[in-house]
Amino acid sequence: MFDAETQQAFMQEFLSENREAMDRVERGLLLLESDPTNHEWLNSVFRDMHTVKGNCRMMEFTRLEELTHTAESLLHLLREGKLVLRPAISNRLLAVLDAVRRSLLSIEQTGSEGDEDFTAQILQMGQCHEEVERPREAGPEILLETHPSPDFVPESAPHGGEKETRSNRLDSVRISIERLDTLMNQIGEMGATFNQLKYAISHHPQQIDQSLEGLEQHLQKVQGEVLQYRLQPIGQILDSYHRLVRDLAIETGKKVLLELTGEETEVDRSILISIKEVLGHVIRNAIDHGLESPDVRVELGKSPVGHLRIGAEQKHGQVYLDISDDGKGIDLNKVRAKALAKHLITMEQALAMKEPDIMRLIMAPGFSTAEQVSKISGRGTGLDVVQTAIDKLGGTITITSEAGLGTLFRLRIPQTMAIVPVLLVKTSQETYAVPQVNIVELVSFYGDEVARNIEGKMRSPMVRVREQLLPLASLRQALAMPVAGVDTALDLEQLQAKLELHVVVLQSEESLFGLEVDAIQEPAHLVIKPMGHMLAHISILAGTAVLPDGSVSFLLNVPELIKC
Amino acid sequence: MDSKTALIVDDSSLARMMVRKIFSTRFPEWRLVEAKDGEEALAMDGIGPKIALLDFNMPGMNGIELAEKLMAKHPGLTVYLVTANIQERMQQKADSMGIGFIKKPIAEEKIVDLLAKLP
Repeated sequence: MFDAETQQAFMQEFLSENREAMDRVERGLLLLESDPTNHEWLNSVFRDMHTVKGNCRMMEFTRLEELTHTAESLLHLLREGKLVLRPAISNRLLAVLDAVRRSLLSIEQTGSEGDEDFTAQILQMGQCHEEVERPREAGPEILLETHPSPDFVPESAPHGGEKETRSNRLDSVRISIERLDTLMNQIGEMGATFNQLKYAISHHPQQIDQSLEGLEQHLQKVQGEVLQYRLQPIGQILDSYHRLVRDLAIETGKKVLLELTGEETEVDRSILISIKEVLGHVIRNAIDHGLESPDVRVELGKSPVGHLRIGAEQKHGQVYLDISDDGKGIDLNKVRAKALAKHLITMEQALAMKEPDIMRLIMAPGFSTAEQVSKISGRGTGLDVVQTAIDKLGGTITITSEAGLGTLFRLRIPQTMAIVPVLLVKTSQETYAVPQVNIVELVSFYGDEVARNIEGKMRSPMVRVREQLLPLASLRQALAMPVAGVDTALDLEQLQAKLELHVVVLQSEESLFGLEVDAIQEPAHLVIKPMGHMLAHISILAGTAVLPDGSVSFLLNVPELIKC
Repeated sequence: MDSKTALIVDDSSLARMMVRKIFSTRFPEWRLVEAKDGEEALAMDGIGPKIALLDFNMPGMNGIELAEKLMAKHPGLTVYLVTANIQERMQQKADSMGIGFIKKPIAEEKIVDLLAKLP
């Protein structure tokens, strides 16, 4: 398609550009021998190899293209940190370099790649690839298959057509034999301590306490070890949103750039599985309602491409997930008007509500309307499912938004949920567990103190704690009527007539409130299991746990309790 | 954006040379502006390109990062990534931004095709 003169010019450019690139590759490889993980050099060597490959393809030197392509793939693994540049790999790459140079010389002299066979070189580089499949350093590994309880399986695939490979990967864990050996050793020590305990019980009763303490320590070590195995990088689910964002962008005719940070943040696998779909809803919402169409954005002086950022960060055993867009933001007046029109709030409430409370209305059940359920918003679910799911995990959601600039959803979720520090309380002869993380303090009143510290305010009982009046909820009443909309106002006089009153002061989001219980028992660390299907609709309960005496207790869902 | 200006950004001088040749023989009415990387492309002022052909692997920013910046700078710009092979996730990222693809190596008929498709 080009005349001979043009072809000749291309050939000259091909030779000189590739030779310069090969010189830089050589220099880079030699520099990397003293600093094998230097990112800048790895990138530069990769790019030069990539350019040479592209040039070979353009000029249709197919065998040289295959050779440089294999070298490029190997350099890609090095660049991604999946392989480390050992002398053996470095030698192979230098050998490729020499072969490319010989071939370029042949092209210059004869116009053909020459008859050198690159098969052996390509196969050798292929062997390096296999090392990545079976890492050398980590030693042999065992793949453990686990079957999460049905409660943790997302009800449906997050998005049509998506291959669930990432999430499937969450169903199994790779453990190196070395780690398994550590676990086995710890179990061996536990066995020895158990034998000591048995012996102490029959022969040395004075040593029972010591043996029990030893057993407890080993138990905690094993627990800690197993919890570590359950942690997985959150990138495993975040990565899958590229596809979702792509599909949503095409469906809505918007342009979206998805940026991920903190993908390495580790979270318990069961939590990852249960937030996967939830996060999808937040993303849908951001693209559907937050980001403007490219035309509108340009008119506003914004980039036509909307930015959607998801960042994860771990702090004090909690994981913070920020989902932000640079769209139009949430119009609080519109939200208020819509909530009024849907009778979600009264005019009185509407006038009294503060900004964060109004913002929160977008997650109220019934807020997103049927006529608004577009193809995007999907199965007619609003953001209320997000609130419910995060509540169940014991997490929180805060929304901040600035008109014209965008919206930020900040989710706080526990990093691990298998073992939760709780306080056990008793009400109606049943034991309930309150997460320690929500507890501010415990207050008990006796005799006259009860009446003096309980007051009524607009028919609702309040409790005085440290000169501050806090709303008072009764656990008994909350459990009796878990249905929303039923009047659960406490009888003030009945409360004031009590001889003793026990209050757990709880914090949920910004608000403090008192929870009245029959008795306060001891703190404990409980292994929490998700609620079974039968009870899953009771929003004030977040999970179940087996108590030391073998009975079953329920974990209270504090953010839901305050709504009672 | 009435002027017919195309921007090509590729760190391979051979690739730029080929595109230049295709434009000069087949589309002499088009002005072709070249840059070897993103930084150089963004530093150009007063070019107002209608279409941009971007390499993916380049020094500094990659093709997608550059596309985002160019689209912000030149609203209405049609962007194509010119690439031999691309990871699925990068492909999805580009799709979500409304960026098209041309498979390497770039050839005359491919450019004819995409110029015909321009709005």
